[in-house]
Amino acid sequence: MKPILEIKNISKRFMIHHEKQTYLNLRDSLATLFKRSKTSDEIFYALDDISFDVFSGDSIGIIGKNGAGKSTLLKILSKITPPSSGKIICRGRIASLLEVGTGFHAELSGRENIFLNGSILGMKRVEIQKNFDAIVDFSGVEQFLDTPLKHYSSGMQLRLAFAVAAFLENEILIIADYLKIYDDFHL
Amino acid sequence: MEYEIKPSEKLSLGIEELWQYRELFYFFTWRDIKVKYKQTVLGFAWAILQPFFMMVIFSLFFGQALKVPSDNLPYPVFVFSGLLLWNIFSSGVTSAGNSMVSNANMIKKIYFPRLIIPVSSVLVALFDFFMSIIIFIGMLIFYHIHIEILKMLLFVPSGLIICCVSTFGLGTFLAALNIKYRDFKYIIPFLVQSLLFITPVIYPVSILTHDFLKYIVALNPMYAAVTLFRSGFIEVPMQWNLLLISLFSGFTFLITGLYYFRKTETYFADLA
Repeated sequence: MKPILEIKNISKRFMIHHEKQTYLNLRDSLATLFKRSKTSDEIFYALDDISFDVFSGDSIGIIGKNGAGKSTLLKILSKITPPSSGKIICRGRIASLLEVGTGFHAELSGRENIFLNGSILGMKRVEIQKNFDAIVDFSGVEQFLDTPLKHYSSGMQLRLAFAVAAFLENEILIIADYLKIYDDFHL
Repeated sequence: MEYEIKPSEKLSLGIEELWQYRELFYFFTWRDIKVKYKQTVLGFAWAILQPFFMMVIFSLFFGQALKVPSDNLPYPVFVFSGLLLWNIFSSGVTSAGNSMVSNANMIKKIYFPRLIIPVSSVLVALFDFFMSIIIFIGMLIFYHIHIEILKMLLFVPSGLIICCVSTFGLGTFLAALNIKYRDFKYIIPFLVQSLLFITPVIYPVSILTHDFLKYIVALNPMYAAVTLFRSGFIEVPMQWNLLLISLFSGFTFLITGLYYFRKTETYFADLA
């Protein structure tokens, strides 16, 4: 059986600027057209030659210190940022949950946010409609479904976000910092 | 289904992928329209009231007081027809230009074709247009404007298309620039404001006596948009050379904008 994910020699480089200016601005870029800037750049490898395979049915956990590159790897797998070298072969639809409630909008109601968040995560509208009652049921915020999200407690927001994510049917699920909600809310 | 994730690939429009994500166009547009009028008493009426009051102010000060000519149309109709398109452009360019920065949180956390966001910004502006066109139809009836249906069906949509093309082109270009150089946060409002003065919204091009000034106005893609749109209602000889320059400039915006956006979009998450 072929692996569902083949990660081959993935590296991600970042440039670290050593100077007081930490962000780009147009004036400086124009200035450097005419003269070489005096900044020194250091190449930093967030990921250096990572390879591994994932087979269907596997659950893999990545553990490491802060700044080890865990999130960078997940961002590359989610296509948010491209690798500097190497490649990944995917044989399935990826859904990534790098943040709880991506795309939630504080002004919109719980109902509206279920649809918005669901579609941003890659669900089709019919899929969300089909699972709507189950999502609401699972989230336990039925009473406040038409209340703007800004009036929700942070716990309620988390539950709503988690309920939507629970109905993803993708073959590959990438999760970061998500499961602590399990503990927080004894789900 | 098998696909690869690699370092930046060759440049393409990615139509296929956009089609796959087509529902997101709807959801982002829907979100922005909803949010825009949330917690307002008048709601969607704001989409109509804003251009209406602009028209009243312009008619009083430019039409009545300054006696700006208006190509055989009553001045309020003349200025409102220009404002309709101008509002698509100004709100479209402003919100599309800032869209990547204002949605940075999402860009850093999830993947979808980034182009969907500026497209939705233009669609929101287009929605406001269709709301305020109700007033325009009322004005056409009120002032007994004689309309040739065939001419209107030809010129009005073509003006609208040019308007959307150039709004989208400039909007995407600015969106991509803005995420890298935050200078554009200050440039965008200034740019939009100055462009109003070189678009024949408040005045007709016929009052420009200098040829040089006419050509400057023609470099602005909104010249073609407004002129074509108005040609649906008035009999003015077309100045084809100016029109062609303006159309060319509009499509240049589109191509440059799309090219630069697609070229830089893979790194948006790193820059945001």
